[in-house]
Amino acid sequence: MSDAYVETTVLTDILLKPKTPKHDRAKAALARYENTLLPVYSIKEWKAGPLDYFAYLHDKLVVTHSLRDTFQALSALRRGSYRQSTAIEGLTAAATVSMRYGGLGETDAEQADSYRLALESLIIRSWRKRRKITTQVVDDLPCYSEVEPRVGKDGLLDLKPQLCERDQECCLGPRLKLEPRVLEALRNAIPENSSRKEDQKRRKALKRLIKHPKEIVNRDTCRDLGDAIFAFFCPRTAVVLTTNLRDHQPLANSIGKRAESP
Amino acid sequence: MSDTGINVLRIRLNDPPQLRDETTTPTVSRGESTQSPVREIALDTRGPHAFARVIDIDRLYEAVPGTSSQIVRALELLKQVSDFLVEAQKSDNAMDADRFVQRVQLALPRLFAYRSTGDGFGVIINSLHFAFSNLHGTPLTPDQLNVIWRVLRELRARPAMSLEQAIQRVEELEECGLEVDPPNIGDVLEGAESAQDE
Repeated sequence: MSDAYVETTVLTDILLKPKTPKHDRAKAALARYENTLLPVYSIKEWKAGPLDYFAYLHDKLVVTHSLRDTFQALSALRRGSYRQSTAIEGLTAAATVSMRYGGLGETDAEQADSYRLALESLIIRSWRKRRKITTQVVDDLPCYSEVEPRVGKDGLLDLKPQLCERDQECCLGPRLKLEPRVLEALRNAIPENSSRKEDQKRRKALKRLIKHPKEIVNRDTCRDLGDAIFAFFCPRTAVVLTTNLRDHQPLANSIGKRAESP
Repeated sequence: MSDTGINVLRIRLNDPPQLRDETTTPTVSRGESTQSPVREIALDTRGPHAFARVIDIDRLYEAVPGTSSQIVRALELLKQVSDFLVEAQKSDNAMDADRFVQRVQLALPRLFAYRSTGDGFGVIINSLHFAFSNLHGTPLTPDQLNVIWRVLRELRARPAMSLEQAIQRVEELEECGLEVDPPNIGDVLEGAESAQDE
């Protein structure tokens, strides 16, 4: 049985979705492999993405003191960026569920406080668990500091830093540039005409690495590479374990590796 | 307090002479206060405050008749729930034990009203609420009962405990199999993720 190279979505399901089928599936999947490898890049993406989303939700509760207003604000935010969709309805439904099965207290303000405290607790506990869910943590990023989230005096959560050091070359850069043919294959695996922003950014970042190998790889390029990092650094004896097969499968396959879903 | 990680030396005073009241709070009869029946002086034997007198929480917040201090009421309520848990531990049948635990569960909303004591206080009470919610009425195991009793006893000793200390206690609750997060919290993230996929 091969090893699992754990991608951000699986880390998220385990740490931030307690009591959901996704959580259970991810846990069961990890148990299937003898060696489970968590790259620090997953931790970095998780902190800047899903954990940051929860922190935003927490901070909105601090400011509005209202669960209802917080979810309305989130819906409005989504409407600004994305078209009104069933997803928004899903979010609103989540808010309704929260109101019905929510925390302590009867008023909206009390419920908001209960949710705020629950988020505060979950964010900090999940951070502390992050390095304990796999058998190994691999591919350390010397240019990225893992700092525990903290609550400021104003009550807001501080998740900084979420990016690598600004004035330093990305520590992955030299290793990436050593294999231009692999980078080329990864780039070709991303549809050229994709309308998705993340695909466009990834193609651009890979092109830059291929065309300008002497250029310093900065933190923005490192972030834009995203999914390609997992395919590139996943050991030959491992599979990329992800819930996002749509993006990871073609990347991994293009360089003779595999991606699996939990 | 030895189980709280603090190294203290306790000197029991069986029939104590009146201790000098360093808190300057008025003396009240024992029946009206929230203090424990055994009076003792605790001395910290480690750290920068070694051998400084540790003031008992009941002495620090002695209940003065007619006062309505939030913290005093919170301490009284914590004492009550602590006593319920002791009774539950003593019970020789599961049903009786669960009856006492139900009283604890019912007291949580009232305790939550004192969350202005600090986020540490709020986090513990909130986590216990979700732990009970996620049990859906299933009685606590003896181990869970002991852990909850210990956590609440410590909260009573340090009602203004830091968030950091509270998170450690919540981790202890998790370690004994209690699920301390809102049951639907993952759904909120799911909603956001599916919106981003659009």
